[in-house]
Amino acid sequence: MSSGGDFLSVERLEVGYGTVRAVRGVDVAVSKGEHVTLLGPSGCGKTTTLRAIAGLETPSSGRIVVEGAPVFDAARGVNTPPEKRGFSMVFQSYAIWPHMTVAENVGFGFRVRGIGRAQARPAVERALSLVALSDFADRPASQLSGGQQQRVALARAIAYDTKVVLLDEPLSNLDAQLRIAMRTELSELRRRLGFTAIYVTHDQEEAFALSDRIIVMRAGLIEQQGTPIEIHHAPRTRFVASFLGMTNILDAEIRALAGAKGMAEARLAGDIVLRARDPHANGAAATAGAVGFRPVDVRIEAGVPGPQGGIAGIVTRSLFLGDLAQYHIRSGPIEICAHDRPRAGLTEGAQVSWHVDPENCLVLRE
Amino acid sequence: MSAPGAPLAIGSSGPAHARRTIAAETVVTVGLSALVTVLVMLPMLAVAIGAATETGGLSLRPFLTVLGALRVIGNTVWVGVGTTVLAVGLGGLLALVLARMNTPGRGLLSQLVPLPLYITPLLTAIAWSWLGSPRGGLINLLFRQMLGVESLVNLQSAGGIIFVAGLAYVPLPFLLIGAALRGMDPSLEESARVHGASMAAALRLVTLPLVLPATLGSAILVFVQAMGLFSVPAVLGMPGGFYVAGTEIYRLLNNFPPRVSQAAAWGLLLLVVTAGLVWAQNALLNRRSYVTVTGKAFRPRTLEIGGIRYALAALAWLYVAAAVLLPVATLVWAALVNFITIDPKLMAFDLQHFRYVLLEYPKTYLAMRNSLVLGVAAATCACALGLGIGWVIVRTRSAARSYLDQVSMFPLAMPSMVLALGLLWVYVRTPMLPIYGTIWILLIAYVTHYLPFGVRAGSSALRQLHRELEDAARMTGASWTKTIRWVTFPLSRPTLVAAWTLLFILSMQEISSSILLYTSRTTVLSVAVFDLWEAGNVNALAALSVIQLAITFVALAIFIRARHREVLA
Amino acid sequence: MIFGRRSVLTGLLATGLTLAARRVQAEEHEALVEGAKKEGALAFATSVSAAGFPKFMDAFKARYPFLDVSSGYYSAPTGRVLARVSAEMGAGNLSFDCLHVANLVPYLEMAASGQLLPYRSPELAAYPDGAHGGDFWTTARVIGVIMAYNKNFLPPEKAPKAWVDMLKPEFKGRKLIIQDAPAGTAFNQMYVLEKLLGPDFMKKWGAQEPVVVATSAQLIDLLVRGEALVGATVDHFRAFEPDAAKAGIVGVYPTEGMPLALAPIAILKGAPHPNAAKLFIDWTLSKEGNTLLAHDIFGVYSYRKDVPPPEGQRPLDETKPLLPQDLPAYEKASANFPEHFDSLFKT
Repeated sequence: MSSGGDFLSVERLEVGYGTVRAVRGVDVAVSKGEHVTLLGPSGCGKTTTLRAIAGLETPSSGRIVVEGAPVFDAARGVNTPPEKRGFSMVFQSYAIWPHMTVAENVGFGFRVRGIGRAQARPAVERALSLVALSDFADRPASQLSGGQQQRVALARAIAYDTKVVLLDEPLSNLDAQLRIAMRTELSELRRRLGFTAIYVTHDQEEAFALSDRIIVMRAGLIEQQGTPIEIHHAPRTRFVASFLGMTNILDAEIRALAGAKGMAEARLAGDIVLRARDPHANGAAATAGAVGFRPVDVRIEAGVPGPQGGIAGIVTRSLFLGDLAQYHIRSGPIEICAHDRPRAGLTEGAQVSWHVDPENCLVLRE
Repeated sequence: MSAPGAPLAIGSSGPAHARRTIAAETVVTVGLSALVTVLVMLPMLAVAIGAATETGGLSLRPFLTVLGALRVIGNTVWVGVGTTVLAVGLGGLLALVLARMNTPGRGLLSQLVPLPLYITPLLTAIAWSWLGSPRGGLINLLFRQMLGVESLVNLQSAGGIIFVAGLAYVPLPFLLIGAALRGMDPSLEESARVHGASMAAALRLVTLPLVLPATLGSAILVFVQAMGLFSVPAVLGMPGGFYVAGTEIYRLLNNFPPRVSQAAAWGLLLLVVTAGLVWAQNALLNRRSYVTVTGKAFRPRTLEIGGIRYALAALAWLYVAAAVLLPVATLVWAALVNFITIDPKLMAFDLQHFRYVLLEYPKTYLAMRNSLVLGVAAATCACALGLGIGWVIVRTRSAARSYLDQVSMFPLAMPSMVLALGLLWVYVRTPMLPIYGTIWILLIAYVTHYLPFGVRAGSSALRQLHRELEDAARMTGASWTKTIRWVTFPLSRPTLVAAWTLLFILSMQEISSSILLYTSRTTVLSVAVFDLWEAGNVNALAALSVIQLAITFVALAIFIRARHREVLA
Repeated sequence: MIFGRRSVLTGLLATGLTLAARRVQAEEHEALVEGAKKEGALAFATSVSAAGFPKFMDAFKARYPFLDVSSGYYSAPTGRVLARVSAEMGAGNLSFDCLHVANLVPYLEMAASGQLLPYRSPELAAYPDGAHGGDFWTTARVIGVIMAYNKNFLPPEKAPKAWVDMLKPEFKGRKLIIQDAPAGTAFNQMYVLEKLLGPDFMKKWGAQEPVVVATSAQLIDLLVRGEALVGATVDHFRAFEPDAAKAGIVGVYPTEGMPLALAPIAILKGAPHPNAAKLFIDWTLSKEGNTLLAHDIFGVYSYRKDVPPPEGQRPLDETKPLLPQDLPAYEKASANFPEHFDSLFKT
């Protein structure tokens, strides 16, 4: 997907208003046809970055280049207005104009360019059929449900020739079920049309499901980027790991294991030792850091640890969740959380032995 | 150019042009700032200079003379405070009674109580002067006949001014406090009841503090208006030698030789006091109170009150009678009767006064046309400017925001007679701008005077409008101007139409600045009414007033029908 | 015979001269009309507010239909008219041609400071010397100030006969009505009465606590409605208008005399339409124009001998007219009059 060089690139982008610096130097490169997601908690600068790319915010410094031509360049005073950048956008609030019909919303891009209704009709109808709203063309947009409005917003974004579709948390206002359905539809649509997309979300599942590449942002800076699998499999820092739902993050002293490349030994509080994967190792010696693992990767046995190893612990709390049960286990000074099949006998106070496969246990940096 | 495989492209956007752009926003922001400066700051400056200038150069004497006029200052403050207490007390009580209690007829009453907004205080004052003047007042004449008492009421007094002005300003606190009461989350009150507070205690401890910002805000608004009052004290105060700042300014300007510097000094004094109050209000309330409410539709519980509800309903009806029904009925009666008398033997009714006003009085049609033209133009300009300034305030991060926000509120603190004086001085000195002596100077005065309302309406309309609706238009290829025209304007129309109607009606009633700026060609209805009053032609005055009221209410009816259509659509 | 021949010669000569003068006048008039045609408008600033006044302007317009007399017309209380004129003059942006207010003082001041355009109207010959200030201004109307009451509220035998009767105890406390300081007639009346009856009279008058109104018309309205008993600053013609008489109003010519206020007309220096202005002055002072203005519309007196006195009113010389004698003192008093009035009547 990264063939063909950078279609859109953002260089050293900084956005600040007043004393607040929302984006503090971000570089993003997007290839043609690529779907890039900016992922991060609220306030990390992802939406501001997207709006700066769109031209809706004026950055304080940096450059934004599309197909080799800058649309924004602070040094040279270039600032192309949003409507001249050739992008389209789907907004968190949908931003469907309530005083127009569905077709008028979708055809707006044609109208502002002086293209007649008749001339625009095939494209509008095509866009509406792509989002399965052909029957709604003449409805007032204000009478649509949330999901339908979302689709109108999508149709509007793809109806007219666009270089990049920018999507700002487009699914966050939908309820859980609809969100999953729309996610699938969106992915299907992009597969068919192949447009370039920059997507902003705080939902990791959405990011994983839709993206070619994910950029995790934190406090106005990029924390880590990679494919969904890379990010999921190898979060680099404690922040990324915890944001991706690695509940168990424990302070540890890390020592590289000689002979086993990319493996390390982590010494936790209470002299508990775990073996962990260290995909981002740079050959440094023992450092203070952390290890992280997901609750589902914890294996539990009842009783004290047997000869094959395992760490002794006591169940402090167990919650029945249906298919799974959540166990909180205390081992000396540390406490971990494990998800396993509900089993009789693992009640509060029960003695257990637990372990994590080294493959699933990750060394994390600050 | 299109994304790979994007099959829908029919136009081509071409490569994005890297070019320097002066954003339309910047042009608009700079233009509006310049315009507001010319509209507001220039006349203010002229007044300041005029106040400090006497024949022969700079002088502090006008100021010292004004500050020495303790009696008039005292009268002004007394009328201001009295009017505010009456208007806010009664308006707040009516708001509580009609918004929150099971008062009989509350629906109808809620529609009737705001009506005085649409009747100029000049007319109410004239009607009440006929009813309640000390000797010849109809009320006194009736009681003298029936009971033989010499004089029952005297409205040609400070009390009369406060009574009439207070009644006229009740709708402001009524609407603002009522909105606050309706916008209040009922669970706040309910939780107080659950935790053991009686109904009265819940009202006192929870409800009243929550509507305090609206109360204070409306109190300052009324006080500022009452301090600059002209028409009511002109009718009810001047005959008894009771002067307040507004009538004092009028008189100083009418005198021969005119005391122009003193009039300007009065204006500046009022400006300073009211600007201080508006500033204090903003500081105190963090400028929340003016914006109506959150827009959330709560349905506060109705408080069940006992038999007292009939007394409270009677009070509300009494208010409607005193502020609307009685004055309007008096005007209609005076327009139809041969001359004002309570002797049934002398009374004769016909249409001669209407005939005179419609067929003989030379100013009627000219004034009507001018008033309508000015009303439409001033309301339109004030709303358009308000939308533009509101847009800069709400949507941009421009440095001009707070300047525009502050300066566009100044006219609220400027009595319109003083504003008119400033405009007169500015435009008489700029013959290259042929504005002086034309209808344009009236338009400028009205637009400046009503600018704060336009800006409040514009910015509150935009605050209700999610900015992404505008962003979406930009992202779909619309320029800034097309965005405003096709998205922002149509979507803020309901708020703007409401503001437009109010400004249209207020412009139709405007007298204080018109009376200094009009020429015979640019006379307006309220000035024509005032002329008839000064000419002692009271029956013709009544007939013209009835016509003026009819125009106002027809406009109002058209607007309400239009709004209903909008709601239905 | 020589005598006779001489007399014939003189007569012929005189006739010839008169004819020549007439021809010169006619030529001058033609020149004015031609000039006015180019100007196309007349801007008139005045304090008159009489309901019938448009008739006067209409009649002028009928003579010179090419003049727009309405665009520049401005009528307001005297103070505001003068404030406007002086603001325009100060800014060098004068829009008015002619000024007509019921107060002599501004004309004295403006003539002295060169703000009036001198013009010797041919009509001036019909006016006595006291009626005009050189070529600067001419009195177009003469307004007397009298007292009035409503016989429905005050029996005639209790009505005042003289100015000093106002001081009777039964007229204390809002029983008298006077006009406010801005009215030129009020200033004139109070100046003349103070000279005649002394400052002590004025103080006592103030102590009667009269009602103060803006115009004479309002004063009559209050009398009609019985709001007060005696009008003490009544522009005489108001008391004799048919409507007022029907409502019971009776005018009283005080025994001490009737103060006369002069309402001159003049052309402003720098007038934008000087030719039209001169035609307007000629019209206002002409027999026809002045009869219409003073006699028909207002019912006031004229200094023109051939204009009859208003119907139903006493001829001027039977009213014991009172005029200010010392004009410099009169001017000086006017400058301080607003404050003087306030000290007497403002509570």
